[in-house]
Formats: sequence, C-alpha cells, structure tokens
Amino acid sequence: MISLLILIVVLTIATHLVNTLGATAINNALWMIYTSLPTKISQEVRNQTALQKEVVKLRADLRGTSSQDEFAKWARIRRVLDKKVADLEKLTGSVNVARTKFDTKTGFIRWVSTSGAGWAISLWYCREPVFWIPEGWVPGYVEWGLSFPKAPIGSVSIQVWTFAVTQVLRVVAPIIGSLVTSVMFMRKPVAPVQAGSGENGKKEL
Amino acid sequence: MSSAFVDSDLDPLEPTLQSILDQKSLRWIFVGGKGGVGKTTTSCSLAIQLAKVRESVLLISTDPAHNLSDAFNQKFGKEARKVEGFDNLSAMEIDPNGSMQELIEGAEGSQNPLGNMMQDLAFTIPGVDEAMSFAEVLKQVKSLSYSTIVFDTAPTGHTLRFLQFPAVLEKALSKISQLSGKFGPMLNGILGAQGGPGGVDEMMQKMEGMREVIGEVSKQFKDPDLTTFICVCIPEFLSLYETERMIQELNNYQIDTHSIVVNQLLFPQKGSTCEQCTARRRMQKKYLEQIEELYEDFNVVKCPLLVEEIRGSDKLRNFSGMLVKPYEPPAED
Repeated sequence: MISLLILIVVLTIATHLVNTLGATAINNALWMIYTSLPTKISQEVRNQTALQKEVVKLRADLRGTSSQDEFAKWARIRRVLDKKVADLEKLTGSVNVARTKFDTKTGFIRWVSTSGAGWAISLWYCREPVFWIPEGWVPGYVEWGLSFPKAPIGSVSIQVWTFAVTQVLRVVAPIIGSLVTSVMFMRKPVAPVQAGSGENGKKEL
Repeated sequence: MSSAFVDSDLDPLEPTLQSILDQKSLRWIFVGGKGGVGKTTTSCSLAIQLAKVRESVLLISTDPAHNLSDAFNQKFGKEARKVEGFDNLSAMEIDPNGSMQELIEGAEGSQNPLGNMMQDLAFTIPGVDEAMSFAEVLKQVKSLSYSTIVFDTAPTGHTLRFLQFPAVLEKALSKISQLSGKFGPMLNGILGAQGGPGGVDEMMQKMEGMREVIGEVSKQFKDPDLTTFICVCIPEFLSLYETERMIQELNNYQIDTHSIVVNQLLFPQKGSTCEQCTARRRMQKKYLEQIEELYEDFNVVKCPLLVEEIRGSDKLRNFSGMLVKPYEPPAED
C-alpha cells in the first residue's frame, strides 16, 4: 500500500511540474529533440533553415544591386529570389503541418501520462485503502469522510489522499519555486560581477 | 558539349517576329504591355503581316479605351468588320465590362430575389466577371472561322488572370454546391412556391457550363503550339520592370512567350545637336543592353520612334515591315 501512497505523490508532483513549466515549453523542447533525430521531418527543417538563410542573402543582394543601372542582374536575382520564397513558403507550410500534428500527439501523450493516469489510478483503486488510520483517532463521521467515496471505513481513500497532496503542493510549490529562483538570482551576479551589479542598478532605477 | 550546340547557344535569336509568322499552328496571339508603349500599333502591324501569310486574321481589342478605330481611321464595333484595304483582315472592339453587364442582365430575366441572391454570391468570386466575359467572347470567336486571332489586350497586367480561373472557380463552385446542397431544396421550395422558373439548380448548371468553357480555353492558351504572347515595351525602367513581371507571370500561367518588341527607340542623326535626343539615346542604350542580356532566349525586335503618328492603313503597313525586317538605324556619332 505504501507504493500507492508514493505513486500518488509522484504523479501529483509531475502533473504540477508539467502545468507550471507550460505545455508550450515542453513541446518546444520535445520538438527540438525530435527534429535533431535523423527523420524526414528533420531534413525538412534543416532545408527550411538553409532556405531562409539563402532568402535573406538574396534579399541583401537585391538591395545591393541597382535596378536601374544593372537591370539584367537585378531581374535575375529577383527571379531566383521569387522561386526560393515560393519554395520556402511551401516547405514552411509542410513543416507547420508536421509541427501541429506533433503538438497534438505530444499533448495527448502528456495528458495520458499525467492527468489521465491520475484519473485511471484513482478509478482503479477507488475501493483500496491507501493507508489505515489507528482506530479511535478521529470520530466516526470523519472516518467516513476520509474513506469517501468507496474505500473501507477506517482507511484513507485514494481520492482524499490525492486531494490532500494537491492542496499541500499548491501551498508548498510556490514557496519552493521562489526559493529556487532567489537562490539562482543570488548566485548569478557572482560569476559576472560587473554585469550583475549593472543589472541591479538598472532594476533599482 | 559539341561545338554546334555552343554556336547555337551563342547566336542571338533573330530580331524579328518572323518566327511567329512562320509558326502556322498559332491560333491565339496576345499583344500586351504597359499603357502607351505602342501595343495597338504593334498588334495592328502584326495583324497586317499575318494577313499576308494566313487565310484570315481577326484583330480584337479588349482595351476599354478602344484604339483600333483610331489606328485604322475606321469605326469598329462589337461585330467583326473587314478592315478597309485588306481582304482577309477583320477587326472588332469588345468591352469586357460591357459584355459582363449584358450577361448579368440577361441572367436576371427571372424575377425572384433569392435567385438573384445566389447570382450575386456567385459573382463575388474574384475575377469571375473578367473570366466569364472573356469566355463569352471566345465562344463567339470560336464559332467564326479565323485562322489566327490577335488580341490587343488592355494595359492592366491582369488581363490573363482569368487563366488561373478554372482552379479558383472549381473551389468556389464546390463551396456553392455544398451550400446549395444544404439550402437548395429549401430555397427551391420557396422559389417554387413563388412560381419562379429554375432557381439554384439552373444557376449551378450555368456556372458549370462556364467553367467547362474557361477550362478548355485555358488549356488551349497553355499550349505553345496554339498560343503565344508578345510583350511590348519601351526602353525605360518602369516599362522594363513591368515587362519582367509580366513575363514571370506568364511563366507561372504556363503561357508561351518568346518575343519582345522594343518601341520608340531614338536614333539621332549624325551631327545632331539635339541635347535631349542624345541624352535619351544614351539612357535607352543602357536599357537596351540590359534587355539583350536578360532576354537572350527571346526574339527582341527594335522599332524606332517615328517623326509622325502612325495612323491609317498605309502608315501601319509601312511600320509593320519593321517587324519582319530589322530597322537599319542611321549612322551615329
């Protein structure tokens, strides 16, 4: 039974972390990893980046060429540029489609492994006690409340336990978060002393 | 690479429109360019030259500011009429917008408001008016038997926009037919109660018919054996810029184009003291060089600026010679 107790704690913390870090950040990180793998889509993303660079370079070339004095050269660059821009648009479109699909999939997986798993476990183990409380500690109606909805009387039900963990986390997490950030904030200025002091000065202003 | 190939690669294409006269399969010839560069003069001249080698030639102006009448000093209308002094050359002037109006008015015979609403909806599709009027004209022209038809197009760049049209219309039609599939029975019920004829279905059939005509026309226009486009320009920056854009657009539409007519070239005579002329000549020379460099795979025809207006059959006939026999400029300083 101790495993169920810890499982709930771990799962709740994981869900909370995912929610605070933000789905977008996690998706971005996963996308980075996914596109660095040797897949078809990663090739496309690389092509896209290369094309983008080419387009920027061609634009610069076009600006640097006088359309009035060197029309032929200018028009040639323009033709290439138009073609590349069209290619780029097409590629961006297909990459975006892939990205949307990827986001949907990861979103689903994320949900299943956090909130979904929580739901499933609490449904599955709703009749099991998470742990027992010694007899006579609390009055009978509180015992009934603690075992709500379906766990045997005298035990703590999984729903109540999940609720308790969530509430504690809601209070504790911001404190830990602010501690972590303040520690990081205090450490940061140590390495680049002058930059840090400058930043502080600015903040005060 | 064989030397022969290199040679043919290096040889500039001949600076005349002879290739167009020789290509007997050509049925549609478009002449286009920015306003005021001599499109009408060029198209008239080309039609005159074509009349010499073809059975019958029709010259159509789709420019609302009709210039054919001025060029030939003869009034032309919506019906094809023989040009005076030629046996096998006819001309007509059509107004795309005008024929569109007629089309709408003709279609509005049935007096029910909902039918008109569907029509209004259909006519909001971008480019539908142009395309339908063009299709109407082409249907007329096809029933007449001319071996070659020369179009003097309007100066706006989107004369040929309607060639993309079948694809656009296909999308729009599928949307409308979805709509009429859902609401059609209801609309027809109301219309039927009012006793109006046809309604949504008839409208759809009309649109479908138009789409087929336009689709067939655009297939013909994309065939380089049947259709070509002649770009007319003057050696100035804006004209050149427009020409380049037009050529790229034509490439997008897959319409063949391999001829450029450069008009209004100045050739000051030897010892000329006209300051403006020599300055302008220098500028034109610069752009002419650029044209030759950029369009090495085109027939670039150079026509001089004459000292007189080119009006009337005789002057046009004289001018038209320059399209097949390159103009010999006088000796320069």
